[in-house]
Amino acid sequence: MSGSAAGRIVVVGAGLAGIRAVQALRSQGFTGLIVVFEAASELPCDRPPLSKQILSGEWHASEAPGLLSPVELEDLDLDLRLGRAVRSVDLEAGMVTDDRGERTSYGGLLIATGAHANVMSVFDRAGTYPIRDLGDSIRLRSALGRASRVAIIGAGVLGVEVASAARDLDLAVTLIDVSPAPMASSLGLEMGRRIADLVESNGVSLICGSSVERVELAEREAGASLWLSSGQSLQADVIVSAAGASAATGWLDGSGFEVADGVVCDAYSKAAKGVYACGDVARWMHPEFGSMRAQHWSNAAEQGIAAATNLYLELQGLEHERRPYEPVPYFWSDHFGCRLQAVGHPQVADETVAVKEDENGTLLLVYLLEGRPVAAAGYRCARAIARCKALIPRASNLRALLEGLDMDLPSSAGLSHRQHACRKHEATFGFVDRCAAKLLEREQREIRTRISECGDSLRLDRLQIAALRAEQWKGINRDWSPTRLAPTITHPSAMDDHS
Amino acid sequence: MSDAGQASEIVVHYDEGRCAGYGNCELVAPGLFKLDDDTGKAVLLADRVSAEQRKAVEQAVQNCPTEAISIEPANHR
Repeated sequence: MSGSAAGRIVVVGAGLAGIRAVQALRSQGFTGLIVVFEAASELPCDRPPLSKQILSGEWHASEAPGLLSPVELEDLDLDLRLGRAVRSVDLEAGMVTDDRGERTSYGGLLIATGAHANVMSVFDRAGTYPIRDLGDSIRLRSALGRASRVAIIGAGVLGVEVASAARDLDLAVTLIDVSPAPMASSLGLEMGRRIADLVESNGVSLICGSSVERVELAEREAGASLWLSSGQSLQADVIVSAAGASAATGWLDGSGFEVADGVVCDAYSKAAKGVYACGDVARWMHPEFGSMRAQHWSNAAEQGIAAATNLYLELQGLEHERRPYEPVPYFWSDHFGCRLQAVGHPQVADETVAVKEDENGTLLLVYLLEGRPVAAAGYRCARAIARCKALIPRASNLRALLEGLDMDLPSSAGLSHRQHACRKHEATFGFVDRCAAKLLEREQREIRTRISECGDSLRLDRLQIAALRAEQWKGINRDWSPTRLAPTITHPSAMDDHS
Repeated sequence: MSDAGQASEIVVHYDEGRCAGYGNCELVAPGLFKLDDDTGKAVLLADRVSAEQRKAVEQAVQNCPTEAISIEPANHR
């Protein structure tokens, strides 16, 4: 079957997801032709070191690890088309057209184009540094070498890692984010506050709850002035844009795919007949937690394998053997000499419990949804986190999870006042977060008004996260109605009056 | 590859720089790898293992998402 289009699989994107997908196809016995299109002129390298070892200078750029050794690449027997981007897909004909106008037919198509770094509209891209590929990392590394003050926009995983590398270079670092704490939108406020402590204790000036409203690049020398929504202003020699990434779906416009912050796929990562998507670009239907898109290294690797496996089964007429993609996500971040690790789905939680915490920086947070563990995150708890990966899908409550970890339930008396307050807050407002993710803009405004009437700044912070998420998710799950939120909002404020 | 089974010992390579701390290696080869709570990375407990343990090592290789583990047959000493 190797000669015909039916036996040919086209993979668009040779990043981690695409490479793991072709490895899975070969290891499962697919002997047909595999055509891989990659817009970059070289095979992408493995990306985690870009914001860690490469940026800090610990590794030279030539040490950036590839995703494949030359021997492995040879063994995969690919028709690798570097420097060639696919421009469109003809679903009916089963054909892609590349940027030279050349058409290639396929029996199966894997979409693995990843994501593009977001650059905020207040910036002229020329004046700021994103980090997405090796070239970005090298350019930023070189710019940091000439700088003394750096401003980092976005305090997610990437922003915090860049802040750490810049502090290693002894630069004055300002880290700015609209959320109330670093990584709060992915790991919640409890973890965010602890990361804030870590970041600040390492000499970073952290400005949360504030966005960048205006940037003025200096005319002659390098550098810029930034004005923030909080009214503050600051000067920086280098501005790093670490404000997230958007799914690279532009090339699919007009090809008949449903695109909503990612290529919309079903639970099997399938986007259309004979077409699957994986990695940062894929928005799939998690069987339990609904529509999601994940941008972790581990998701790219796992979904690459899962989508390729399902595609190959479909091509063999074995659709009934395909499996839904329901990973227990894992991600890690190295910063300030510590390794943060997280498993599961912290974003869906409505409660956070610190089950272990000491003054040496050991921390284990468990995230619950209606009492059921859905995620765990922490520092210096690698073994417990690894076990949580297996335990979380099975544990029906916190006690069961802790039994599996040979740990005791923390007594309520042992919780600090702050933990109590936060648990209550999380329990109350976790739902706002989730619901707001589904809101349309008009409905967001309604909630913002209602919550501001409560006059609670913490809630406004929470809402800022929610509003951001809602923007991300806009247009998805339109069936949710804001009227359901109204009575629930007034209820907790009444409760607070008694506390 | 065909004569790999004849080696009495196998050599395990572990690249700590690539380790992302998944801990799958400890799960499938507990005598060979151990996650270090402090670093969040695995520690290789023995870089040469007997041929009987090949299966466990291969499991560790296959289950490492970051491909930090590899095997080579030991040279005859």
